[in-house]
Amino acid sequence: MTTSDLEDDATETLAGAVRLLFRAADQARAEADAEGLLCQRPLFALGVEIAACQGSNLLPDDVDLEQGTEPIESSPEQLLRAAERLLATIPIEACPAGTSQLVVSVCDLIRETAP
Amino acid sequence: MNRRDLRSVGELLRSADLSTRQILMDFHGDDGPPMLRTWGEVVQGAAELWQALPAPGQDPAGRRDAKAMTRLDSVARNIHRAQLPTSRGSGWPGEGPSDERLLTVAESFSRAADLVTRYHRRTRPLAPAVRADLDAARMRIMHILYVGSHGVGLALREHVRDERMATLGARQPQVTRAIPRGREAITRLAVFEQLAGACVGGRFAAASQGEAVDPPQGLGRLAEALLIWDIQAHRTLATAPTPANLTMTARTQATVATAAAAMARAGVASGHVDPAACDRLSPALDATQAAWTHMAGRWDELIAPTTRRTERDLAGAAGELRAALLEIVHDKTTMASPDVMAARVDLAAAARTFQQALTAAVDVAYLVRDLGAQHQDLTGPARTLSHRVLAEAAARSGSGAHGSDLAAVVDPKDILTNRMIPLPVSVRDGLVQAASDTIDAAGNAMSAASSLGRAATPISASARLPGGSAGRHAEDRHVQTVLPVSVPGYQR
Repeated sequence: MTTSDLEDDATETLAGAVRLLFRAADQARAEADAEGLLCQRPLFALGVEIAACQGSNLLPDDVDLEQGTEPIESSPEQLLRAAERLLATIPIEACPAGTSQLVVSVCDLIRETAP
Repeated sequence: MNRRDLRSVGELLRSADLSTRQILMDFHGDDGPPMLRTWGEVVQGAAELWQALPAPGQDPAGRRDAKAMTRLDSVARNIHRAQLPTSRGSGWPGEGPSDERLLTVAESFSRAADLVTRYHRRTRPLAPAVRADLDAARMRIMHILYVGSHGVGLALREHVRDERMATLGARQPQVTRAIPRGREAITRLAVFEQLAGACVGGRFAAASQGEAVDPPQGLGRLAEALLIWDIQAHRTLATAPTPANLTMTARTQATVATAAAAMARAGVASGHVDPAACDRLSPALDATQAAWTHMAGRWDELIAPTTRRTERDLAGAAGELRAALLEIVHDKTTMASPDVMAARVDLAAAARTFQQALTAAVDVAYLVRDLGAQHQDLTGPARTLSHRVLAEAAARSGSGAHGSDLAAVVDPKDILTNRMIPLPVSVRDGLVQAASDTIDAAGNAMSAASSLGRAATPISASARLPGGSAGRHAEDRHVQTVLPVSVPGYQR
């Protein structure tokens, strides 16, 4: 496998993780809107949205963030964990600069919601 | 008998990477001191492995990273030295257990260094594939150190918070020593994380030119984050007023209102904010939060799959603001209790900080309204816009909308292909109305907030907190009269 192949694979996997993050952001936002003002959910939703934006900025402009299969995970927390599992499969050296910060953001969000 | 470790250097590094990620997702405040004790060993192992890898030669990036590794090693040694006893007293956190998970990371580094030293034949020149492999190994080491230092820093932060809560009101030095010494360690780790993060984030040049600075904490961090957010929101909306950026702006403003409401209510409960002032402010903040959230939803409708990207600096400023808010209002997985918030920051001062933010929010709302009204290049996906046109028509007529309402403004072919189309007039009017509602709500919140600072009653507060403490810095607090703040653009 050439370096270019490795980077293409990494980009595709990263795009998959970012799609999951956007899905998690949409769900977290819907839950935040339903739960109202005095709860933790709006802060969490904003965090997931920021992580999704962070991830999308690592991808080339022509990557479609809406395509892909329907994830089996149903809650924002599960989607975040799925995104982290996907990120963990990418060799970090094949990722664009800034991916480490995305890893940290996603892990931070998972911990914020861990019981 | 120990089983022989047959893992390759790459596998060992991968295992260390997964361990640090795992730590980051799962730790408690109690893990802070053991993690700090073990961190030096992790960095020492990383430095030894780095040293064992063949030198990068004349490659400028490799030489730059080598310098960074030397600096990281030196910062970690200083962190370790601060833990040793001196003539002035014992070190912190002193002797105690190590963190088992970080120990495995350190062992992975040592084992990898051992493998490289034992089996690598130093031949020149290195083949391109070998050089690429070495670059990858260095990148992995740096990544592990970055993720790991972030985890240790957060665990310590949580530990210091727990200590502060546990010792609220206590004055015995042996009990409270963990707080200042823990803060020192947190600051040093932040420097470490900043340096490692600059390497993995490709911003080394910028980081190496300026000295790493102590990150502000608590209210200082919040005040700075609010200021930077306000500046960045104005900059981004002036240069890139895309629906994605406008959505992020509106959602962040809604979050600020949420946090302001939580802190105001905590201020009442802990006696730092006058209940009457909070009674005036709370409904206004609720309305502001709802208005910003509604507006965010309207702008979100205009985002297409290809235009979902938010500007990096805007997302960065929003992220820092969220982190600063979280540091105060978040506890474990829920909102912090009033006592916890009062122990973290001076809630009367927090109210004054939010006053300024609520004032600035009015100007941002005006900016968003002007963009909605005047920005002629705004487009949105035809299907979403068609739904919105129908909804607006139904709202106007008070009954159901007709297909003719839609056909007149959105071409059915565009709906079929979900093409990006210019905003129909009714959708634009709806956006402007949502922004106008936000301006009204934000203006009301600003007015209601102006009485907060005057009404602080710190003296009577002491009885309401456990241990009789009136909260952080209560002894130094004075009731301040808040001067009217000029609002740029508010009179427009």
